[in-house]
Amino acid sequence: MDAIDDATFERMLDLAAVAVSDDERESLRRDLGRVLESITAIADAPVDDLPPTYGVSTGTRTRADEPVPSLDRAEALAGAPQSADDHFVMPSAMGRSKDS
Amino acid sequence: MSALEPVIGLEVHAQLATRTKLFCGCETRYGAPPNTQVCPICLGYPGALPVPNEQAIELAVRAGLALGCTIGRASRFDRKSYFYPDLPKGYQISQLDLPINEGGELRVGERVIGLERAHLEEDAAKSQHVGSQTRVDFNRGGVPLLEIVSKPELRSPAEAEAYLRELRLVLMTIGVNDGNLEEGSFRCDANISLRPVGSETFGTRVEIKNVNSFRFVRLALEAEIARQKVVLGSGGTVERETRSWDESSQKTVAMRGKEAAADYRYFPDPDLPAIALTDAQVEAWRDAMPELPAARHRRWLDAGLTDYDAGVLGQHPATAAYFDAVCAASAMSAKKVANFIQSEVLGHIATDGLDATLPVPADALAELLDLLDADTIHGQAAKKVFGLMVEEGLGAKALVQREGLAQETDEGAIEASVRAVLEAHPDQVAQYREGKTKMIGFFVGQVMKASKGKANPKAVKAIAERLLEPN
Amino acid sequence: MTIAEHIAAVAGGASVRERAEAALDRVGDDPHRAFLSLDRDWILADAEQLDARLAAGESLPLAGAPIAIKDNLCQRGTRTTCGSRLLEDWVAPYDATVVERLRAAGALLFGKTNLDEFAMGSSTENSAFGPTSNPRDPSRVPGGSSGGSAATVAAGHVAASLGSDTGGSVRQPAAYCGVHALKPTYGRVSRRGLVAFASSLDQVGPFGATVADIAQVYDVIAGPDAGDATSADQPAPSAMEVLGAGVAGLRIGVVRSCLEQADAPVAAAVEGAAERLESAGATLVDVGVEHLDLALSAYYLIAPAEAASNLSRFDGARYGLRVEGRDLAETYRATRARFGREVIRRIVLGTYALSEGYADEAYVRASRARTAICRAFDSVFEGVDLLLLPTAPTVAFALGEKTDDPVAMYAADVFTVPASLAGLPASSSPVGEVDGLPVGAQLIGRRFEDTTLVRAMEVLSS
Repeated sequence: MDAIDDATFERMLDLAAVAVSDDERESLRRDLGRVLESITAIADAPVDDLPPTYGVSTGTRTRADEPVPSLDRAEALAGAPQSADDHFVMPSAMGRSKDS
Repeated sequence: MSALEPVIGLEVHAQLATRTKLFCGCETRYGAPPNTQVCPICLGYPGALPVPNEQAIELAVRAGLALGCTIGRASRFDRKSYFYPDLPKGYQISQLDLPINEGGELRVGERVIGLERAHLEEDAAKSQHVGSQTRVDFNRGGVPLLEIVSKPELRSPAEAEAYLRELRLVLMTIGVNDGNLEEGSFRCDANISLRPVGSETFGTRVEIKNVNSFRFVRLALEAEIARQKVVLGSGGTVERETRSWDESSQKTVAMRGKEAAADYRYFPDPDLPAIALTDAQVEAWRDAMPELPAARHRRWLDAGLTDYDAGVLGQHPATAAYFDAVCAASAMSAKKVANFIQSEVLGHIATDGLDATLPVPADALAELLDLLDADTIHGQAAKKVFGLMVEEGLGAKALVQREGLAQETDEGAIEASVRAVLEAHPDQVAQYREGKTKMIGFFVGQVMKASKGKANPKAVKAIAERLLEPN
Repeated sequence: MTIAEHIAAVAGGASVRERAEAALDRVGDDPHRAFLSLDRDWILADAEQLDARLAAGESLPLAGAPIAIKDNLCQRGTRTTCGSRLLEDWVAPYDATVVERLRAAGALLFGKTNLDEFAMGSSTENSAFGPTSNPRDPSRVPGGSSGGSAATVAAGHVAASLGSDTGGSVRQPAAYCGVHALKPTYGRVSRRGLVAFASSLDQVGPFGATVADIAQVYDVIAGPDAGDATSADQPAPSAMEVLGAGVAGLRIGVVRSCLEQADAPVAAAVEGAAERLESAGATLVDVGVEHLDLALSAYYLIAPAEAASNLSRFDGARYGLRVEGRDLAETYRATRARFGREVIRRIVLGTYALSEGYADEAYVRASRARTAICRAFDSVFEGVDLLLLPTAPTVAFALGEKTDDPVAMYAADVFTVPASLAGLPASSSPVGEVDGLPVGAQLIGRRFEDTTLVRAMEVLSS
């Protein structure tokens, strides 16, 4: 596992949407580098021919298409940091890209 | 520069006609007050887990069967990550590597358009930008969608429009989608590029998002083709970008500036085991598949309908089923039934999504048409009776009797009436016999008048002709 | 004070309320900081309700026995903080399935216990609300992430508690605190209402003062749940029913490589445990499990990848903390900056493991290694019924000793992550002491053979 270069590190912070202060930045980078270095075993492991295991669940559960009561709107909105006019509110997302 | 041809691919998001959302039991009713169809699962609360709606899976597979897709026996849900206020978990549950339906095709007129896939995913919530705020209603968040992706095989805007109409009709016919464009249950994005005719490679494609009518899709594609031709014709290059249709200017406009390629970090959703489907299950759904619009169209042509008739009657599954039911219950020919329904009945049928309000039941209409077909009443009387049936809800026979509209079919009685008319109009009889055979209409009209419309006009004409023959 | 003793006392006329008061008195001012919330009035009110239900003749198998709940399990009407600033004031609007089942069985829900933030850690020092200390030596960590749940049982406050185990978070603190714990087979216990860390690995499990306490709680919480698509369909056999069955005839594989990797006194205590199993009639065989050396690396790619995704819902929009920024992007970043350092580390690591250009070599490759580990277990379980190995390579370390060294901290999980990756049931039993600090022996069983573990745990406790 290669260490994370500057551009990649910044891109990861951006994708993860976390702000990191300047002094935390260096220690975070250093820690990530150490962790990645400690798990290099995976890079050399003889596993290329194996299928990946993404989960070990044996369930195949589905549900019937039957309505269940919804949350009380007042209760749902009361837990929100900001709401208006029966809606959840965030700073404007105008101009932000999303789904393709 | 050599001639350019458009290469068009369409992505349709069709809402599956379930009662509840894809992963929770909240209802999917359109138009409910904001944030009243929400729960810990579709609001992405801590600890909440998705459980797939079996009906959504069935509807998706039925769509796949209707479109000739390969049905995945162990398809999988994946997470697609990005931050946006309309996405409660920071990821959308969709399908990437192992979609429920792969491949497939849709016949559009004479052409067969290939499909890439038709996969399940959850819808995002509805967000509105109000001043400095974005307000979010999560009622729509988590509603089941089938994303149907065509291959880039459409070659004209008109063909794209026809594809969308046919796809919508297929999905409505099998009860998978209500076809309601205004409510957003059938939405379309189009990808378009130009390339020299004969070329095998693709040009840079532009995506046109969320065009909300079939006509606008065609207009937007036409406008975009014109724009790209100008760009390429002046030696420029087309940017890979997302554009939207601006109705007022009749142009496509860039939606956002250039941006780094998105990185959605897809990976299999660990909350959702693979969707296992058995062959028996899939075959049972295949066996239960209703007749599809294309087969029905062919059957109707064979039964004597014109292509136009079949197109009109087939544009909504409820009218199509109604027509078939009337034909089945009536002795009248399919073509005549089609004529009567088109001229008299269609105007009375109101559709709302998959539902339709029919003016009279199919067997009641068949009763009326059989009276017409047996010459018990004539055409004008049938129209009048149909109007009364719609207004009063009574049966055709009862109304014909009440209104005294049954035709006189007793030949003796008709002959007596005809003789009376001929005797009363000796001049006209003479003219007829001198060769003015058009006068026959006058005699028929007089007899009809005398009988108050009850006499069978065909019988009257035949008898009059016989009696007017020179002895 | 075991659950069985509690049930006997209530049957003999004691009230749930007076026993709840006694338990609250035992906690006192919670010197080990095992609890994040413990509301005396609420608990006593609940206890009175349980007394009323019992008086009305309702059959309540747990008869009001107090059971503490890790604070990443939703309990309706109570704060569920996950040890995080982001959920400091979040009140869960619903019960986790395990909480629902405990309520139905008549448990007295006895407070919410401290944990590493979002269960990410091996020492409970990553709690935003301060660390828990080890009741056996307050200068030491209780292990983690379910440190509070282990400590409250070790301190004798309650007979049982619930924790969650993703890579060892139930087993390792049980070892450090000297109590019993069981991580059931993946899918055996519902995860609905457990705030997710790594969904393909997370499993709720009980701590107990005795093996019978574990069995009693296990029987209540285990079994299919329509609300968790990953929960197994088959009913869970009773653990209570196998108590006393012993281990005669079982073949137990001693994982020699792990004993060699552990501190010598830890290894010696585990050898002692092996001998006890043998003298109770089990057959011991030395075994090797292939690819165990890949487990830690695979785990520290897969778990952060899932965690980064699971924690993306904490965006300040619908619940929990929001820190306003100049615009939407700044608001997301400022809000999520309030995650603790370890959580941010794992979110960034997990984002990396899933991102374009790296996913194939990181997340996908780790998932291939996971296959190798699953197959290695399958193969070794053809010859043995259970595996025996240390729960952790060392005894409890000192508070603060590893907080600046994530790699050293992660190494505390080296023996526990393999069973997590394979979804196998695994347990920890106190089997000795080194300088007054407990040593845990880990047992790993075949999928869905949780009760075989319980039989061996019982032998180790006698």
